[in-house]
Amino acid sequence: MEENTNKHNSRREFLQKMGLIASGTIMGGAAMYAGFKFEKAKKTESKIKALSAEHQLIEVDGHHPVQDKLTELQMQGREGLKGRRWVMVIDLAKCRNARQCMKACQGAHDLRPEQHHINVLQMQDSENTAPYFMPKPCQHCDNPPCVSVCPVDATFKRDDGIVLIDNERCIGCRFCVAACPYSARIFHWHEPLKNQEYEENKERYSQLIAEGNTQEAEELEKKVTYDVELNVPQRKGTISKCLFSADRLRVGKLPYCVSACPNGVYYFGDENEDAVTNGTTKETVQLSALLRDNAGYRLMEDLGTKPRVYYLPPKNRLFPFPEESLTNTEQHS
Amino acid sequence: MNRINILIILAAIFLNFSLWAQETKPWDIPEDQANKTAPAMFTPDMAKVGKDVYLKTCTSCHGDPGKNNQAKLNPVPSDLASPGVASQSDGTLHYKIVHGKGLMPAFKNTLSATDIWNVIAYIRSFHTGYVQPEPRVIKTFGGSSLKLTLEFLKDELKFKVLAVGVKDEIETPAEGVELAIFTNRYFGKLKLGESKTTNAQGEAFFDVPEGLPGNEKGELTLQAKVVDTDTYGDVMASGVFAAGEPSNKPGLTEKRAMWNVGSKAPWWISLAYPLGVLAVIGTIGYILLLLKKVYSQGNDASEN
Repeated sequence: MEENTNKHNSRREFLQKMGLIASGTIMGGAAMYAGFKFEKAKKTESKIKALSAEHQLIEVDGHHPVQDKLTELQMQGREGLKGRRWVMVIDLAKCRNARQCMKACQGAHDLRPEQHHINVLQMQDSENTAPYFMPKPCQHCDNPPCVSVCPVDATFKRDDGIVLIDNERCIGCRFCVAACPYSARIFHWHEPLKNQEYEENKERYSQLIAEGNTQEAEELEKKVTYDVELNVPQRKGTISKCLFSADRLRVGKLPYCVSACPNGVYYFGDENEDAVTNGTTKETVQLSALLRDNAGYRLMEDLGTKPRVYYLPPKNRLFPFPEESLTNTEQHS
Repeated sequence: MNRINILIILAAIFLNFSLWAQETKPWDIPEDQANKTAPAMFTPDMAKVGKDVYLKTCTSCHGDPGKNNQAKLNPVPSDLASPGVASQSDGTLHYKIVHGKGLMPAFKNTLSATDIWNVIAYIRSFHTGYVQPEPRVIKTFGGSSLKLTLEFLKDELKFKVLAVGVKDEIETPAEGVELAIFTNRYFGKLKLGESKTTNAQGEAFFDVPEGLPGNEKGELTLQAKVVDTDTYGDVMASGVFAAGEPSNKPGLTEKRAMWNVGSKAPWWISLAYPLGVLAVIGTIGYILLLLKKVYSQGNDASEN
């Protein structure tokens, strides 16, 4: 008898529970749908109050178009060239401070004369050793501290070893600048050099689109669209850095700095092929042999950053360093 | 202090001038090179090919011949249609293109011998009244043209290059021809070992370098070339041989690391957050469980 009541009770309880769950689901679903509809409707018409630069309360459109998909150039920039491991070798014995590398680089990346992706430094390791010139680009480390600290995944390392920066994602926190032991990164404190040109291009582009002139617009699109592999157009409040000329590598050309050097300082190539090509003479040599025969080394090896840039010591330099040069600190007093 | 500064400025000016003077020093062209003539008479076809090469490699500095639109460099590159260029011999132009000087790059590694002569043919097409000297006679080596064949001897781990002279469709081995072999790399051609000279059978053997990376299958794209292109022209043979190491190194972003993207973060980072949340929820649950136990024990005690 007792068992029967239990059975009866449990069936009733079961039906009650099911009813509750069903009505709960329907109500919950309805609430979510209503909320979703409300949010969708809000996006298009809502205004939010904001304080203007003149300390006045203004109403602005609450809906900001968020770019949720990467452009083709951004996606392409995130993928490296399959099966490659780019490597640069800098022969310090040949550098005579011609600064053509810096010029070519600044020209390609729209940089001001005082902004450097690559810089030629005057070095003197100790008081009694000879001074020499040292070009210093980003070292494109295999264990990059700058990438580890980026909070928004704006700077990243690619399959082929290149460390790039996506200034559409960069929030300008400058953690990477602080993390880089090679001081390879620069920050755009001011409007970039060609800002006016960028603005004009943008205006012209939207004008052409409005007019329906697709042919001219397409031509201009290249200049307006941000290219991660060139980091152009540059943008105020973001980071810029050496890119190993990723856009040139894609088309089989040597980097801007490498091909601009008149003195044969730079070798560039693929570690997987064990070959590097000199930018000046275009002679291709075996990477392992070049490093072995000339006692190649990397900067700050002890930090464990594993740079992809090698240096050959400034032995038997092919030019004299300017006598009593700028490295003599006494003259600055 | 001021005097030192002035001295530095003077030294800098002097240095500048000495560098400048160095770059504008005159061409030093050996006589035999200046007297060199083209391997064949220039034809409009040669000039046409030469024009393509010119547009790719020369225009950026020298501008279009006859239009005087050279790049503003120091010194200003010459307009190649000018009388100053027209009066120079073919050998002089050839030497300048091959060896370069100062800002003028050397093209010996970037342009083939044929292309250099094609460019000269194109430049000459702007020089009115130019009469080409007799083309130079190619040395005889048992034929009038040279043919190369490249082979990979798998058992001996050697490459064999056979050079034969062809004359009236009769082939005879060419002795004493200097040959070199190259393999294709991303930015250029890598020379393998030293160049070698063919024996009486017209053969030269090259060792396969140890551990040279090929493609994924270990294949190398090889080229055998004649070193003395001035005499024999751009004679070469090429082939693909499985003589290298297969290169299948993983991409540099494959492994888990601090600097990698979220999905490739080290395990301990990926696990730290979910484990932390689980630990907090677990602790709260455990406390609730204990409270329930206290409550039921209290009930039991009051019932008794």
